[in-house]
Amino acid sequence: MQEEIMRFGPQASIVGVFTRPSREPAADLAVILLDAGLIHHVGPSRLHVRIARAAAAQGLGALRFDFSGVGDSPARPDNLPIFQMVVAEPREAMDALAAFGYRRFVLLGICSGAYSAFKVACADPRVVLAVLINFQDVATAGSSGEATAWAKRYWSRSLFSPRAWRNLLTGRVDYARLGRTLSAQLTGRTREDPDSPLAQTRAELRALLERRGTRVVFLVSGADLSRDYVAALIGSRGVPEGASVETLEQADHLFTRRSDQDRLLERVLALLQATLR
Amino acid sequence: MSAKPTAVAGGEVIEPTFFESQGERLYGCLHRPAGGRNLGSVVLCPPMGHEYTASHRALRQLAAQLARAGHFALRFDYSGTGDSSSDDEKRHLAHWRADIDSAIAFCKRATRAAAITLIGARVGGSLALQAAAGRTDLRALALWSPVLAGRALVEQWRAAQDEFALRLGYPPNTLREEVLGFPLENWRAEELAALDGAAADLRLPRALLLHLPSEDPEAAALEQRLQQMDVAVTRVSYDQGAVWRQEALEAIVPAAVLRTLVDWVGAGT
Repeated sequence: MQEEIMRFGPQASIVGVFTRPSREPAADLAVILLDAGLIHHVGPSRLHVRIARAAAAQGLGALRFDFSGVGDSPARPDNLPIFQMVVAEPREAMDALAAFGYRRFVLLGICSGAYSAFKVACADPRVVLAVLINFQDVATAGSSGEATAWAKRYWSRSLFSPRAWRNLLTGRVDYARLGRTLSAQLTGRTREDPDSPLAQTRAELRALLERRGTRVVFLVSGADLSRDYVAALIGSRGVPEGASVETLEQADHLFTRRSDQDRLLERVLALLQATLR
Repeated sequence: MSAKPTAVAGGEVIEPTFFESQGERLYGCLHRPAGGRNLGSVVLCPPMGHEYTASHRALRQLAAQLARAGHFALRFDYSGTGDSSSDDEKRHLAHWRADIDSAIAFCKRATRAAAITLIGARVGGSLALQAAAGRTDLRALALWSPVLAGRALVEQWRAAQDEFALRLGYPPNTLREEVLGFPLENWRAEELAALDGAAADLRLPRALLLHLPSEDPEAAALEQRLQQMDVAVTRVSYDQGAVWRQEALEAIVPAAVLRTLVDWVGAGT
């Protein structure tokens, strides 16, 4: 396995580590792993390193890099707004990898990394597979979309879960959030609005899939809100063609349990293998 | 790939690199001092496990502030951690202690320094203290809440893991060999439990001991041991909280602690 420092972007200031395929390169396909929030490019519990190295063993190049201002990448000097930056920089990574013969890309992100991967997939047809792990539309945090997801969780699962009741009675619950959600329900703010961010994201997803050529896989943790968010996003019409939703039961937001990390790695590798075929 | 190792953006100069240690490749980031100054070189020894993740941003900011104040600052990952080689993470503490020697050697070569300042945080502080023994090329040693009572650390980590498992509803006692996403096998727990802040044969002029109020007894004892070895010790109790216990996604930077460290390093130049 061979790893090297990679720099790219307008000022070559974005820092990443590229893992070269450790056997004959598999076509022109590379994996790009996107930061989960402020966790730098090694990923939560070093998951990105494990995924990159395992992908390289399958014959794929794999790049894990830090968005500007996160981890080892200095801040951009051009004041690019963050919601533009998280789309621009993965595309700059693709441009840089294109110089080495890579033409098709798998984008993988956890949490806000999933948001970025989704937005890039919408903007760039070079993305053939977007693996959106615990996806939530971070731009709508605190909005009706988030309240809808929490309401779905409270009424469909928490209500019937002894653990949830125990957490409620022992102070392990965000009471403010619970209050906000119930208040939003009482005032009708969790009802679907065609102009809501959730509806807009759904429209983006459908447009992306109608373009064809890009698959979208939502991997959700059973114990994470994203499960409910993605369910709300998909809506009653069912999972559209070209997308799939898979649940890793009991896993938490960042796959803290070692066994959940192993399960995630196994699932991601299976997806990569299927993309190679 | 880009052949040029140095990039400048927003006035900050960081050189990510790999260097050799015990037959493996360690990942490091060398922060170059601003304005062409060179007030000395600093090597930062990180915590381990979930504490590494939680404090990564704070140490990265510390390196940036040291560089802004005129110092070279090298951050690095122990073998089997972060971006360094090896996947199995089954490295003993003695192996990581030797990695610190390699990082010092690399930093001296890369910055043409005859002596360096060593900063260690948490387990990295304990390892830095051990690595400093017998060395004659250290200008100073700064320890940021080093682990001076290893058994208490293991108990804290086990309690944090139990709390996590309870909150998520996982069966009790099924996750004993891990802590918040990282392995904590019995052999590793035993090694950690043996950490006691023992210091021997330190030949450096000055040391800084930064600790939480709750760590006061062990820190006072270490201060005494260092003074007996003719080390001028500055002991600072800080109450800005334990960044290594924060959620990984929070990544709060303790500005006052970093300022104390940077000012103290600068005072020795």
